[in-house]
Amino acid sequence: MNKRATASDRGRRRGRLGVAALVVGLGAVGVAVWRSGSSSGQASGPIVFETVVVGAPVTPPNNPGQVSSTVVVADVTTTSNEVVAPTDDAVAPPTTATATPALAVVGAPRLSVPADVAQAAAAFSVIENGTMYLRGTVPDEATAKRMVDEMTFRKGGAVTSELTIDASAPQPTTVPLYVPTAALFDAGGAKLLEGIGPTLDVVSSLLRNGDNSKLLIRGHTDDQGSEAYNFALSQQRVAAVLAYLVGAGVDPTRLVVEPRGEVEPIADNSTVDGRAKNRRVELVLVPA
Amino acid sequence: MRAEWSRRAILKAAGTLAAGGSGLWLAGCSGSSATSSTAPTPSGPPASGGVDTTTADPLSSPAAIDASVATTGVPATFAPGVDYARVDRPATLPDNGLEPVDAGAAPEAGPLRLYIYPDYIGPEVIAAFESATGTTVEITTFDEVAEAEAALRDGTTTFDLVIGLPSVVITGLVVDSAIQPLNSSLIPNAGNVLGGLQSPYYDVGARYSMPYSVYTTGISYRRDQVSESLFNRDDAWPLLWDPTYAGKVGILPDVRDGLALGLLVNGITDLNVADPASIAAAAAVLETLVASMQPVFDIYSYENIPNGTTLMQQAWSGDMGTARNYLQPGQTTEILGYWHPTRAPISNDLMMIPARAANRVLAHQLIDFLLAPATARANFDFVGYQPAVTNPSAYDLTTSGGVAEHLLGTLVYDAEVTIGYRIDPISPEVEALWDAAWARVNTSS
Repeated sequence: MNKRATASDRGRRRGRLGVAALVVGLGAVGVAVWRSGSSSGQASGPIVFETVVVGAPVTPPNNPGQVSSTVVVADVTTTSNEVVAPTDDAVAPPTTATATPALAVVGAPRLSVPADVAQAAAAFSVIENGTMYLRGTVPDEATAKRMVDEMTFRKGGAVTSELTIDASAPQPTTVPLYVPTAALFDAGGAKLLEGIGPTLDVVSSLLRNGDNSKLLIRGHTDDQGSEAYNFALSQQRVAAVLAYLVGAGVDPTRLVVEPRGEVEPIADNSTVDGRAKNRRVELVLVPA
Repeated sequence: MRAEWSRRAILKAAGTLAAGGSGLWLAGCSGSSATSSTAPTPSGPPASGGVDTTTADPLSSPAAIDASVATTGVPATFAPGVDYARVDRPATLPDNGLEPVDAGAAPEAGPLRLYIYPDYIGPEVIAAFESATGTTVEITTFDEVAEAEAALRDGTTTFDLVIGLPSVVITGLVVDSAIQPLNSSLIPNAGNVLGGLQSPYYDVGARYSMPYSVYTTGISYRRDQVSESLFNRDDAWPLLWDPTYAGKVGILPDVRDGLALGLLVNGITDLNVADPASIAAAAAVLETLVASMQPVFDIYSYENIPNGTTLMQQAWSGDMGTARNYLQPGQTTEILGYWHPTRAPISNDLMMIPARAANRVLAHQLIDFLLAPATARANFDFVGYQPAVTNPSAYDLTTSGGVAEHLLGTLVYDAEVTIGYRIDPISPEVEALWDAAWARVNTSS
């Protein structure tokens, strides 16, 4: 697909992106970003803190009244085998990690297989203005304590627990970390806004104090303009986050960039609000 | 190989010679010049995006490499007391016995003698400088890095400023006292240099150089014939192996850039690697490209893409800026596409003052002039390669119409400079390994 962009299109985009920077902070992340079909059950066991989403609070389906919640969770048991939908049939990536190379050339390198999975959760963590909170519902005090201890260790400092106990709540196998922010970047650009440091510094502390987890840095855009433009823009934004974290002392080998451009919308691109939601950056912590 | 080279061909070929040092890219152009008897042997399907390295016979003698080099790729020293610079091991270049011009010295009468690639600076920029300073600029051009390096060392020619040599050569020029230190107080616009290059790892403190241009290495493509959707990913290098485009792909012809492609598709990002197996694997995967895709080995993507000789080609980002000058009748820049990975190979060319410069204050003035925002923009409009400055920024160049929207990826953001992968000097022993591997790739063509 080659969509043509005119000078006037560019002008309109700048206007939209100006809005986007604002709207991102009002709710740019939805559960649709995480793929279905990857559940691993709700068995008890070690809690794995693995998902960081930079964006804004969304309403979890199991807590419709809790606006400041999120349900974004990744399932570490299947991350290595999940795939992203092909973007083009001609060079579609293999459907599993062990599939035949897509390119019918002996010895040809094959396209790598991005990983992504999702699972809803009732408990989650969130970073607001540099402070980490644990929110949502867990089945017992012991679980809550484990969550607090784990996140305190990872953060290297205190976290604030706002967890509620409900015996009927599922035992969490994973806990999302969610980072709401008014905006990460200047309008239409790829320069991190001043003041974003405290949030990303918390993220970097999580990497330093935990295990050898890797952080996936994903960038998404809406569909306005050419695919090439949007891919490049998502690249430049994830590059900015990567450069910041490396500058903050994070081992670059633990950071993986995944620019996605416009191909993974989570909302309707035909509406202003939908496009705003689609313009987002996600950070996903994947345990080693 | 073409009888005549355009300005960009000359420019970039010279750069690759400097990086590779072997001249084997010429063999790539002609498809001959075999130096290895190894037959092209496409390996089996890679186990994990890599290749079968069992055919790596030319590189099976790691004993030839110093042990420290084999493990790190970086010899202990370039010269006594001088380190090999790496991004993670910045090097402060030594004092070479030359003194920078005094800050209070009066500007010379000129003329300023500029040594540069053909057409690598805008005529209007030169005219503006002459008008501003009241001097004249005499331009002498060079075609190859090796030629320029020799001229700077031989003591028979004198220039006041050399522009276009890549960072990979600077250590040697300093050690050989072929260039002199700069006086930063005479370059107030140095503050406009991209943040990542203000004090570059290859010349900490920018004592001897200022950056001129910055560019990535990626894939240029015909946007009207290859879906840009294919490039919505960070690992699009394997697209060059897509049989749909057999006979219509190309790769850079020099040993360092060429083998870097093989390394990257194999998931190796150390573009100065000394490990023989990694080098062999890079060659092996490129042999499969040669066997199945019949790529061209050249630097002419800015011509090949518009005229259809290739539909996808490993290229430098600035080439798609240059390509606007090579469009066919009826074509617009809409047909031009460029992709690079987020963490891309990054390069930059330099401005340096030769040791025997006679007009040193004027040389500083031209450096400063070229780093000024308005001048940098005007020069970009002519050259097509992005100036290594903050203003105009990559974003400025896009939104002001300097670059078509869909070519946003041809521009280099500051963060991308920070996280990019560099091709740096390697020891003679390691270079021999690279040359042998590259010869095998060429043999298979």
